[in-house]
Amino acid sequence: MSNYVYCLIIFSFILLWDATVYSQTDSDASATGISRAFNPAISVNALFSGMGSDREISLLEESGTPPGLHCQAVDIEITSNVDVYLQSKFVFGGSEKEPLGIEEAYLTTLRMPIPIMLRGGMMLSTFGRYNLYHLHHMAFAENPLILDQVFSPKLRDVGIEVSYLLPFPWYSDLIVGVFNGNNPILFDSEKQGDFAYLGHFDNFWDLTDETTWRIGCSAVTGAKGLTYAHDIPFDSSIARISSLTWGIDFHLKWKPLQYGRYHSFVLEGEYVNTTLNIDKQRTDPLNGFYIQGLYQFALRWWLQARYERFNRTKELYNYFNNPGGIEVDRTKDFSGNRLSFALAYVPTEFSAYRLQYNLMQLGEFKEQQIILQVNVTIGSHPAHKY
Amino acid sequence: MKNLLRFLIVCLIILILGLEQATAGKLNIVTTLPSLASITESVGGDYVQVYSITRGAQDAHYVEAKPSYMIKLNKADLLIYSGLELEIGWLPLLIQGARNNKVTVGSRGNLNAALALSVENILEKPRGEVDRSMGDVHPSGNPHYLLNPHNAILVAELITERIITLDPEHKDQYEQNLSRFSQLITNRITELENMAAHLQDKDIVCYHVHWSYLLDWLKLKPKGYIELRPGIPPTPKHKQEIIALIKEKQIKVVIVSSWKEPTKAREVANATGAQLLVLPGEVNAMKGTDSYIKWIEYMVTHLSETFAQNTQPNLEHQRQRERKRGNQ
Repeated sequence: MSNYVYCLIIFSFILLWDATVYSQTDSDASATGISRAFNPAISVNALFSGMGSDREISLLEESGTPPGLHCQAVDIEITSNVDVYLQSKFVFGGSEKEPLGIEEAYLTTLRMPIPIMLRGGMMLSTFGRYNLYHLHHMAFAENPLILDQVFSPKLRDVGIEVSYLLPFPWYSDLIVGVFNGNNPILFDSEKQGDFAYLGHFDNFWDLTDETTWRIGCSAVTGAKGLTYAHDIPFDSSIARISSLTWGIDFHLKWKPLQYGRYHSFVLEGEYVNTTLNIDKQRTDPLNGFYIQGLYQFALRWWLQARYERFNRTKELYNYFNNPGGIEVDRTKDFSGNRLSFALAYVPTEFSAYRLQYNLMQLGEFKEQQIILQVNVTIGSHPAHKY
Repeated sequence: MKNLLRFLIVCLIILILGLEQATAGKLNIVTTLPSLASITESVGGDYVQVYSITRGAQDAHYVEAKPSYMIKLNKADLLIYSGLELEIGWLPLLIQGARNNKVTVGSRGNLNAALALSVENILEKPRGEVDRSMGDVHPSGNPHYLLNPHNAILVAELITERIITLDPEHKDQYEQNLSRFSQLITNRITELENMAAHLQDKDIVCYHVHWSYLLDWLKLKPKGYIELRPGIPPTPKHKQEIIALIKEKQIKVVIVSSWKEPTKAREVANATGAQLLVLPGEVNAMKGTDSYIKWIEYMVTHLSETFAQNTQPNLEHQRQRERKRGNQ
């Protein structure tokens, strides 16, 4: 009996000691005893904006910043390594108008037997620079006009991209991809096997320790369905429509080594051109560009300017949506442009305030806008690419 | 046309092969900091080729993940980084973009130098929860541990161990280099500690929470920081509080890193008569700091001299203030 009591006492001591050690060392355990050590990095980005316009009904109301006070966008981003081989990223986005939905859900390889990287899932395709940016990452309050016009507003699809770092002395990245072909403007074919194919060639040089230069070119092609934007009667003589979109982008950046947090300058732009191939006949293009300069003149302050323009030929009206949702003369070509100036106050990497002025012209319609935008990030948000 | 194309293809192949050969025979090491590069060069000697991603003049917290760094990492056999989340804003992007299995986290070619330190040697590890209202707090502790040369010896040992794992053929040479480096540092530590003995228990004000390991080693007492919170510039009220503190405690020296624009620190120094001392934030940040040992020597020598010059009350400053009062 006494042995039994001794055993119980020793056993109790072991239990108590073990419990003490456990509570002291396992700081990642929650009250339930479930480990939180492998929880993913989670962040939320929110964009709030207020816009004033000199028009009663704003141009680009659907895709731009609408007048009034708004919760412009909320993105929830969840990132984590799946295992030794894969990293996953999930972005759920919404706004006051749209419920939260999947913006991106993709996997990226962490290690491969050959020096390539694979990215697959539902994702923003690597076309140019700004197509990869979520709204909170952009230098201005809205997506560039030309991307809105061509991609409505983003080239986002389910697919896979393979990138290979070419063995040159400079950074030279070659990306090829195949996508389902689900963009509402460019590839809305419902036919099985109608994929979209993408290529992107990105080159980057250090001109000096403080100045860098990047130039890229992209192209994407795929089959387009026969569903017209404006209920134009179906023309059974048209056998097949496909779209070809190509673009070039550049990025020049100066950032001094010393005091690089206080001053910097960026000049960047993109040109995008898209045409349709209708029964082997190529249409005239929809094309355009944006060019913008961003100058950081103090630790927290930026001055920014952007000019953008697009041109659309009358031939494309039957296939693409109306620009800005306005009624246009279908017998004429159409163009639009926007000039923007902004003053940005960025107190930390996690919050920014932007006051922006837009002078916009779509065809014969003109509009002036003033936008105040607040951009906040909470949680653990992965760094943005250069 | 065909001939031209063939010629271009041959040129390209020669170029690629030539590049592959260029670094053959040496261990290709990329470090995130110039101080880590200097230590690695000391222990690696002739058998390593070392490249530091950040330059001395750069604030390592705010480096951008330039694709050209991915090229360096793509060819690296070993990546050595400071850890403690110093490089959290850019290094993960570079590692992923490099597409080099040798340097991915968990590989032999991926070395977190902070692992050389025991947990109790890491300063300013926050107790309790941290959040961003506290400023740029490092949740894992202050990552500038190489400001204490005792830690450099530990880091050099860890680096040597890893280099030997990757290149066992030159083990003896690496061990000799380590022994020489450790001896050199140990000797200089003794000399510098003697030189800086008079700094013990002196009060000092810093612009940013950066110098903790250096101050801890030299037994200097940081009494305040000009920044409101780490990484957050001072408000006018906070600046006045710091000025009042310096006057009250008769603090003689204010230090600021060469990475920071010294305007705010200079305003505080000018308002109090304290001496503003700009110290190099990293190896090669200022003239005469082109190696790890020279960097440490520079900081200790300048701190020692500045305190020595300011041990007497600043009579000139007192006279200026009296003159101002008289004018009023």
